[in-house]
Amino acid sequence: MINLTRDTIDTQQVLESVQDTRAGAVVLFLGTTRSITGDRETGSLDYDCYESMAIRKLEQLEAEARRQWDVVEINIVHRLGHLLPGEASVAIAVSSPHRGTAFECGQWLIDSLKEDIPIWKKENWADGTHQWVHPGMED
Amino acid sequence: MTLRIKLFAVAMQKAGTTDLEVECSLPANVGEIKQLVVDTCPPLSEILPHCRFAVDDEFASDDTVITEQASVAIIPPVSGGAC
Repeated sequence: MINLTRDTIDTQQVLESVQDTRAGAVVLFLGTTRSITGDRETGSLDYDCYESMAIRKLEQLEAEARRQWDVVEINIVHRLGHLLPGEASVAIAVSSPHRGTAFECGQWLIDSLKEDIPIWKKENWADGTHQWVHPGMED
Repeated sequence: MTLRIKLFAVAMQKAGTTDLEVECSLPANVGEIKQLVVDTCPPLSEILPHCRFAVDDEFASDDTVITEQASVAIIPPVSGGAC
C-alpha cells in the first residue's frame, strides 16, 4: 500500500498495517530529517510532490518488489509539506515469512525510491536562505 | 493552442509559477516542446538539461508524442526520502 500524507507519520500504525500471521518478520525503515548537512544547519524542510505520478511510480515500485521477493505486505508512506529536523519524512514497512527477505526488500525500496519518485526537498537553512535539493545539479 | 506544463521545485522557483503555458501546435514530441519551453521561459534553460519530462505520469523521451489531452510535467532530479 502507498500513502502520501501531510500529517506526522504514525509509525505504530505503519507497523500494524503490515503485520500478518503469515509473516515471521517485520522491518520498518524511517528516513528522518537531519539538522546538520556538511557544515550547514537546517531550520526546516519543505517537500514538494507531483502526487498523481508519485503514487503511480510508488505502486510500480511495490509491484516490482513483490515480483522479486516473497513478501506478505508492504507499506510506503511519504510525508509532504513542512517538516522540522528530527521528523520522519518517509516510512517503509515490509513483512515477510523470514527476516532476510524483509531486510533486503526494504533496503531495495528505499534505494529505488530516491531515484525515480517525483518528490523534492527544499532546505530552509538556519541562516535564512533556501535551496531545493537536486542531486547532480549545481545551484 | 496553449499547453500547460506542471513545474516543481527548482523549475517552479526559476519560472515563478507552478504551471507554464506554452503556445504550440499539437501533437508534437517532447524534444520540440523543450525548445519552446526555453523560448517561453529563458530562466529554465540552465536547468532543463538536468530535468526529465513526464507525459501522463510516466517518464518520457524526446520522441514521446504529446497530444492535446496529455498531462505534461518537468521533473527535476529527485530528492525524496531523507536518510
